[in-house]
Amino acid sequence: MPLPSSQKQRFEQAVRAYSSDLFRYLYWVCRDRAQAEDLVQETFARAWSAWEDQSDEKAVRAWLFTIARREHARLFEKKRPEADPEVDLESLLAPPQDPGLAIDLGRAMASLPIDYRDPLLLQVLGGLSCAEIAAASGATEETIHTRVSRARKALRAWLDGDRPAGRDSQRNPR
Amino acid sequence: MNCIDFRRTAGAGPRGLASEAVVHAAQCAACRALLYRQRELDVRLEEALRVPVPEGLAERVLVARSSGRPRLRPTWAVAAGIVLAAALAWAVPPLFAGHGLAGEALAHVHEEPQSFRIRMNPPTALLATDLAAQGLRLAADVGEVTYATLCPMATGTARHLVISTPEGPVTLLLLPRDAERRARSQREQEGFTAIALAAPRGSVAIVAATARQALAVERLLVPA
Repeated sequence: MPLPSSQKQRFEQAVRAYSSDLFRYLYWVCRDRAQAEDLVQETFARAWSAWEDQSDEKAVRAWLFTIARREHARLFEKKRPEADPEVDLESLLAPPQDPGLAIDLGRAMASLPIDYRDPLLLQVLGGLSCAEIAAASGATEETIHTRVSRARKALRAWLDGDRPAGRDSQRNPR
Repeated sequence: MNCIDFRRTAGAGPRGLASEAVVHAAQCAACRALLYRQRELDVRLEEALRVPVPEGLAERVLVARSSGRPRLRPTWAVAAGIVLAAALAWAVPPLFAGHGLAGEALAHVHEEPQSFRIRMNPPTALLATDLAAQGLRLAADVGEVTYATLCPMATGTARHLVISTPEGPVTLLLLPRDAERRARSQREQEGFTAIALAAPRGSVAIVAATARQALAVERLLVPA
C-alpha cells in the first residue's frame, strides 16, 4: 500500500536535511566520492522501505547514520582488519604542515584506523552519542568511549604538536 | 562529579554532557578549559570534514525513491562515461583541458600545503611583473605575497604564488607558456575552489578556500 503524502513529505524533508552529512560521513569512511554517493542512495532506499515504522522524529538522524554505517560495512567489512587496541594512534599521524589548514586535519583524520575514525565521524557529523554508536556498531559503549577518546586525544596532540615523530617524518626527515 | 570523572566523560566528546558534568565545568576552571578545547577541536574537525557534496544529490535520491529503486551508477555507465569523457577530451580539447587545469591546480595545492605556512619575502614587484608577462594586472591590491616559487606542472613550469588576503590565503598558479586556449572552468574539492582561465598569454589558476574568495580575485584580474 502506498505511503500517505504526509509520510512522503517527512521522507523528503529527511533527505534534504541529512543527505549532505550522510555523504560526508560515508566519504570519510570510504574516501571515494562515487562510492559515497551510491551508499547515500542505498541508505535512503533502505530507509524508505522501513519508513512507516520510523515515527520518532528525533531519532531519524541517528537511525539514518546507523543504516549508512551498516551499508558501508556490508560492502567493506570483509576487508576490514580487527581493531588493534594497542595501536599507537599518535605515531600514525604525519606531522601537520599547517595546523591552521583544514586540509591537514582532514589528512590526519584519514590516517586514523577505521575503527577509531568511524565512531568519531558518527559523533561529529552524525551527532550520535556513544551509546547510539555502540548500538549501531555492535561494540560495547565502553569500547566506543575508549576509541573516541583516543582518537580525540591523538588529534588534539597532533594539533598541539605534542606527539612522537610520525612515520612520514621518520622516512623523510627535514 | 570530580575532575577525573569529568575528564573521562568529556574525553569522549563535548556533546550531550550530563547535567552534573556541566555543573562541574561551571565550577572548575581547569575542566572548563578542557571542555573549551574539546569544543574547539570539534569545530575544527567539522570544518575539515566539510567536503563538497555532489550537486543535486538530494534530488537524485528523491527521484530514485519515486521511481521505486535507487539510481546507482552502474559499472557499465561509469566505464562508458570514462570512454565518452576521453573521446570528448580529444574532440573538444579546450573545454576539458580548462577543467583539467583547475583539477591539476587543486591537486598541486594539496601536494604543497607548506606553501601556506612558509613566509618568504619575495620582491614587492614580483606579482605585478609576473602578471604583466601574461598581459594581466590586478585592478586593486589584494594583499602581500607570502610564497613564491617555480613548480613543474603538466602544462609547463608554473609560478606558484600565495597571497595573504584579509579573507585568507589565495594561491595563484601562473602559466605564461601554456599554449592551450582554455575555456574558463571552476572546480571544488575537499574544501578548496579552483578557477582556471585563459590569460592574454598563457593561463592562470586561482585556488582559494571558498568560491567567493576565488571569484573576488578573478574579478580583479584584468588585461594590462
